[in-house]
Amino acid sequence: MLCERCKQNPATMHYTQVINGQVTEYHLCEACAREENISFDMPEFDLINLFAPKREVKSAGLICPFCKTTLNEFRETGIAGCHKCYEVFEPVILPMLEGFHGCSKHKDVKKEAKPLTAEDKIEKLQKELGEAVKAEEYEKAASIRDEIKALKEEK
Amino acid sequence: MSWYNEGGPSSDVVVSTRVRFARNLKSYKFPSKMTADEANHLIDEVYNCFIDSNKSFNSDFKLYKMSDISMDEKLTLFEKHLISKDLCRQALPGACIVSNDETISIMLCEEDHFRLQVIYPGLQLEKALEMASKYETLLSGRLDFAQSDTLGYLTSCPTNVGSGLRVSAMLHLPALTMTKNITGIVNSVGKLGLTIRGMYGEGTGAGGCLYQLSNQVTLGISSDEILKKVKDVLEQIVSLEIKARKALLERNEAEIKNRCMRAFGTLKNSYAISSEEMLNLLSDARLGVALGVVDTSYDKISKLLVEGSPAFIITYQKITAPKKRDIKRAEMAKSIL
Repeated sequence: MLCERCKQNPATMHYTQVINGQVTEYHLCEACAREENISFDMPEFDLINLFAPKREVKSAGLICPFCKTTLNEFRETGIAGCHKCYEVFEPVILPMLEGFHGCSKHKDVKKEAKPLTAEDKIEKLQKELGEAVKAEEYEKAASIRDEIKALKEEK
Repeated sequence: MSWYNEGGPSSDVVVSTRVRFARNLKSYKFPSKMTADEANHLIDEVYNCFIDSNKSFNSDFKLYKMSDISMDEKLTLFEKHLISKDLCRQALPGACIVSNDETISIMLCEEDHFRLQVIYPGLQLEKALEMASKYETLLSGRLDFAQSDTLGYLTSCPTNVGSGLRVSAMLHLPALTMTKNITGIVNSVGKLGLTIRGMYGEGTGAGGCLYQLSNQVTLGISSDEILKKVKDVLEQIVSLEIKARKALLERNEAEIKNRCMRAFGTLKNSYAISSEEMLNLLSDARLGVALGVVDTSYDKISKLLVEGSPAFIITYQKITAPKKRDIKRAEMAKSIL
């Protein structure tokens, strides 16, 4: 029997679809079945495939030069061997992060944090001044007072 | 004070609050690829760096090398929620730096080079995050942590990449368990990037009605946002539990109160109690405290929960035979409560 789609190759995949009682039979060759997204193989059930099932990675022979973790090893365990693995296996890791965290880029809080404004600094120093006075550390208090004065003049 | 020796805010539902940061050093391979020598070297380097950073740390903290202590001592640290079960069992040399008050613990060479944890009784998420961040900052100023511009902190498992932060709380949810509402909560929490699972035993059949709620997503989200997310959901779960307790009382007041008081009676008047039975009795007694029918405190119940655990009795009471431990456990219940 020839594949009913391309009508060239022998049909090797036969399957029956039943939708609301209506039975349809398909006879396809392997290539056409793949193009139609019909597969009888169970996908490999590992962490990476679970999170990043759709992208083909053409870098199966990759190996991390620092810790010697291979791509296959990483795929099997889902554990990186060192921080360099993140660069080496980036094409696999990024879709995986996307699947798990819903994104593949971190919001760096420390970099985003605004530098202290002069007002913030003065407020902080005034608190320290109060504490120094309370503790009767008058030398410290005097130097804090000078700092505040300098900041106010800068403004 | 440790989480099991003291009560805290919202202790009627929230048993403890925990915050942990995962970090790795740039100069070493991650633990899965380390040799024993490298791990020992890292432990010494980090411990020395840590105690050098503050004069009082030498006396305020204690280093436990897993190779130097018995399995029962390791399991006792696990029962106190200071280390993970993986650290007890792993072949790679691991260690843990624990503060004397048992609120701060730093696991070394577990899945990541560092797992810095702060644990407090009751609902104290902000305070725990503040304390954990303080120690994280202290260490990051002295050690070169592995991080990338786009991915944040890099961890062994990509599920922790980004902030490396896990914020969690141990919850006592007897009413949501009895009314079977817990299943719905487990399902809906997952959609919010959080997870809730049984503390003792997997799935929803959690022993002692104790559950752990925590964030799963760590990437693309700041520490404060993670905290807020967990806190928002936590507060909702707490109010649902309280509503469910009220509903249970309205329908079966006598039955519920009777159950709690009997559990307390059994705890105080038994000759032997197994650890599994203890877990369930403590759950009912804890509910009894919340309902005002059992005259003890949450911290005593948490204390018994930890100190009545099998490894704890073996380590501190030097009793190994299970039957004798059950007798000891009943004695402890009597004296603690």
